[in-house]
Amino acid sequence: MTEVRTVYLIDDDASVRRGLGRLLKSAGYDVVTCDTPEAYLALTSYRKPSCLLLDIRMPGMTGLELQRALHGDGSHPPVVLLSGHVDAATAERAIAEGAVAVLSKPVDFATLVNAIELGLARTR
Amino acid sequence: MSERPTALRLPLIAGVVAAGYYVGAQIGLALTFPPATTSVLWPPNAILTAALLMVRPRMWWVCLAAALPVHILLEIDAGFSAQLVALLFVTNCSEALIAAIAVRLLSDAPTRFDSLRRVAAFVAGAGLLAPIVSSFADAAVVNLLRGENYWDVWRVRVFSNVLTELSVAPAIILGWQVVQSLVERRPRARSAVESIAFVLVLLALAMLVFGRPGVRDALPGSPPTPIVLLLPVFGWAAMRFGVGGVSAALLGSAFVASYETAAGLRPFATLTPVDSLIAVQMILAVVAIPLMLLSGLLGDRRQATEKLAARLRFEELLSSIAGSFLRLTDDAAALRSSLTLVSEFFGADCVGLLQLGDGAIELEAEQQLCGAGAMHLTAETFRRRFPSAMERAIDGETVVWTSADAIPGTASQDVQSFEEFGFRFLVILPFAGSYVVRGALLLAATRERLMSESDLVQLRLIADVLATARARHRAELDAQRSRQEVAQMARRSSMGELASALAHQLNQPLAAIMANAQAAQRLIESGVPQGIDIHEGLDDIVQDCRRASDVVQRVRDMVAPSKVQREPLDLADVVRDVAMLLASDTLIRRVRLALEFGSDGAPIRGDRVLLQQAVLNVIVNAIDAVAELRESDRVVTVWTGSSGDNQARIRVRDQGRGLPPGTEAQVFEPFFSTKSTGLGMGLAIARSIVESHGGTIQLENDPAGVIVTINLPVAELVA
Repeated sequence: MTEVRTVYLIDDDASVRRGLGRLLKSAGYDVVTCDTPEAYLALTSYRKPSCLLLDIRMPGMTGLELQRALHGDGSHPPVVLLSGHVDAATAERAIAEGAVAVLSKPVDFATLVNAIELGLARTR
Repeated sequence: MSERPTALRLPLIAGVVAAGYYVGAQIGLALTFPPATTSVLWPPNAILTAALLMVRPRMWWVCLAAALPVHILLEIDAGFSAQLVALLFVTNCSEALIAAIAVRLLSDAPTRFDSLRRVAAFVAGAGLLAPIVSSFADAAVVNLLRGENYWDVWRVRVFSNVLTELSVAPAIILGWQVVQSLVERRPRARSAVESIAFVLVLLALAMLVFGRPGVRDALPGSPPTPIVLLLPVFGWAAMRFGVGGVSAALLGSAFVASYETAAGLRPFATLTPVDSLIAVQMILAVVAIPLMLLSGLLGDRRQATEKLAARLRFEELLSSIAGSFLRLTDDAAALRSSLTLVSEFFGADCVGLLQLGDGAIELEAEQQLCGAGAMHLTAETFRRRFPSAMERAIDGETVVWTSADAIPGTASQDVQSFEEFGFRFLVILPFAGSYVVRGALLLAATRERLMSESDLVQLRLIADVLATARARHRAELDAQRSRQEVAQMARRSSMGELASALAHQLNQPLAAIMANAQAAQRLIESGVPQGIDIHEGLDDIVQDCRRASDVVQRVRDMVAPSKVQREPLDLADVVRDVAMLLASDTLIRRVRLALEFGSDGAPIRGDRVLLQQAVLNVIVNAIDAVAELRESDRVVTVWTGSSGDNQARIRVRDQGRGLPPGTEAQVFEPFFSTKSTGLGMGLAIARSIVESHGGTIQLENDPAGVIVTINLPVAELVA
C-alpha cells in the first residue's frame, strides 16, 4: 500500500469534519477537509487518486450544486454524497448525474469505505 | 254523471230525463190557456236542452227516447190527437237539438256559464236561435191541425220558450253542479245565508209585483210599472250568483207571474191574460239577457284575477325558495324548507329530490307532510317499489302518473305500489341536462289533485331553481374541498420541512458521534494510533450528544411551551371554538359532531389556544375514525362537564372500529400512528399540552369505538 489515496471531505459542520476525518484516517486515507464547496474550488491542485465526500446540505453552494458543476470535468475526483435527509428522487437524480453513491447520515463505517473505494476505482 | 259505470248510466239518464220531462210538461199543461194549444210556459224543451248539454252526443238518443213515452202519455191525456202529439214531439225535440248543437259549436265548455263567450254562446244558441227556429215548425203544425192563427201561436211559443230556455236550462245544469259540490264539501255559512235571503226576497218581490193589486196598493207611491222592483234582485243575482242566479231569478219570477196570471191576476190589466204574460216574459227576457252577459263578463274578470293571484302565489313560492337558499347558510335546511313549501303549494304528501349518480339513486331530502302510515319513502323504497319510474327518471324522462291506469301495463310492480300507497299522483321531473347535478324532483300525493300542464310548467321552473341551487352548492363544496386540500398540503409540506430541518439538526451531531465512535473502535481494535487523538474524539462525542439533546429540548419548547397562559376558561367554550374550526371539515365529510354540555359547566384556568390544539387533535382523530363509515354512523360525540372530584372533563367518543388491540399503550407516543398518512404527533402533542395544564388524558379502546377522556383540575384548585 504505497499509493497515497486522498479523500476530500467537504462539510460545513466542524464536528462532523473532525469525526469523519478521524474515521477516514483510521482507514488509511489521506484526508483534506474543506468547510465550503468554494474552499474546495479554491484549491490550486488536486491529488489523484482521490474521492470527494460531499455533504448535500450546506449554506451557500450545496453539495448537489457542486457535484453538478464538477460533473464531466475529468480533472476532479468522483463524488460520494452525504446527507441527513435525502429523498429517493434526489438520490436517483444525483446518481444519474454521475455521483458514485448517496449515503445518509449517520453513516456506517463499512458503507462509507465501500462507497469511497468505488469512487477511487473510477479514477483509475 | 259521466263517471258512473256504464251499466248504471243508461237507465239513470233515461229515468232522470223522463221525470224531468214529466214535471216540466205538467207545469206547462197547467199554464195553457184554452182554447190555445200552446202553453205560455213550457219547460220540457229546456229540460231536454239541459239534458243534451250535460250528456255526450252519443247518449242523446237515450234522452229523446226517455222523453217520448212521457210526452205521449201526457198529451194524449190532455186530449190531443195522436198526429198532433207526434208532430209536437218532433218540434220539441228539434228545439232541444238545435240548442244543444249550436251551444256545443259556439262554446268551449257547454255546461259552464262563467265567461262572456260561454254565456253568449248559450244565449244565442239555446236562448234565441233554437226557440225562434223551432217555433216556425211548431206554429205550422198547430196552424194546420188545429186551425189556430200561425203568428199568434209563433209569438206565444217563441216568448215562452226563450224564457224557459234562459231560465230552466242553466238552472238545471248549474243546480246539478251545486248539488255535486255540496256532496263534496259543506257550503260556507255566509254564502248559504245569502242564497236563502236571495230566494226569499225574490219570491216576496215577485208576489208583490205580480200578485194581488190590493197588496200592491198598500205600498204608497209604488211605481205604475211595479216590475222595475225586480231589477235590483236581478242585479243582485248577476253580481253575486252569476248566470245561475239570473236564471233562478227568471225562473222564480216567471213561475210566480204565470201562476198569478193563471189565477186571474195580471200586472198589465188592460191586456188579455195571454198578452199580459207575453209582455212580462218579454220584459224578463230583455232584462235577463244583458245581465247574463254581464255576469259572463264578471266571470272573465274573476278568472283573470284568479289567474293573476295564482301567478302571484307561484311567484311568491319561487322567491321564497330562492330566498331560503340565500338566507339559510345551511344548504340542507334550505332544501328542506324549499321542499316543504313545494309540498304545501302543490298539495303533495311526499316531495323529494332524487340525486342521480352513475346509475345509483339517492333521495337527498324528503318532505312528508301527511302521516299516511305506510309512506316512509326512502330512495331504497322508491328504487324497489317503482323500478320503472326510476328507470325513466335515470333516462331523463318525465313521469306523470295521475292514476294506476296511466301507468304502462309492463310496469306491474309500479302499478301495484301505486295502488298500495294509495297514490293519486306521482310526478318525477328530471333536471334539465346541462347542470352539474343530475337529479329529479319527485312529488307524490294521496289526495286528489289535478296536474294540469301549467302545474307541470311551474314544477319544472321549481326543479330548475333547485337544480341551480344544488349545482352552486356542489361547486361551493368543491371549492371548499380544494381549498382544504391546499391547506392540508401546505400543512403537510410545512410539517415536512420541519421534519427535514429536525433531521438535519439531529443528524449532524449523530453523524459526528458515529464517526468518532467508530474511529475510536477501530483505533482500540487495531491498537495502532496513527497520530490520532482518541481523547479529542471522545470529547467531541460528548459535545455532540449535548448538541443533540439541545435540539430535542428546543423542539419540545416549540411544541409545548413550558410557560402556559393561565386565563379563566370554560371547557365548553374551548369545545365550541374547535367545533367551529372543524365546521367545514365535518360538513364535507358528512360527519355529525354532537356536542353535549353538562349543566354545571367546566371552569378551568389555562391557555385557550393550546387547549384548543389538544382538543382539536383528539376530535380530528375521532372524525378520521368515522369518516369511512356509513353516513348514519358518522357521529362523534363530545361531552364536557365536571366529573365530580374537582375535575373538569372532556370526553370525545367515536363509533369507529377502534384501534388494533394492543396499541392502546403507544397511542400517546410521538410518531406512533395507525393512519397511513398520519405523522403520529397529534395525541403526543395533546398529552403534552394536557399534562402542562396539570391534567391527564386517557384512551379507552373498544371494537365499537374509542373514548378519549381529558381531565383538568377545576379553576379553584389551580388558582
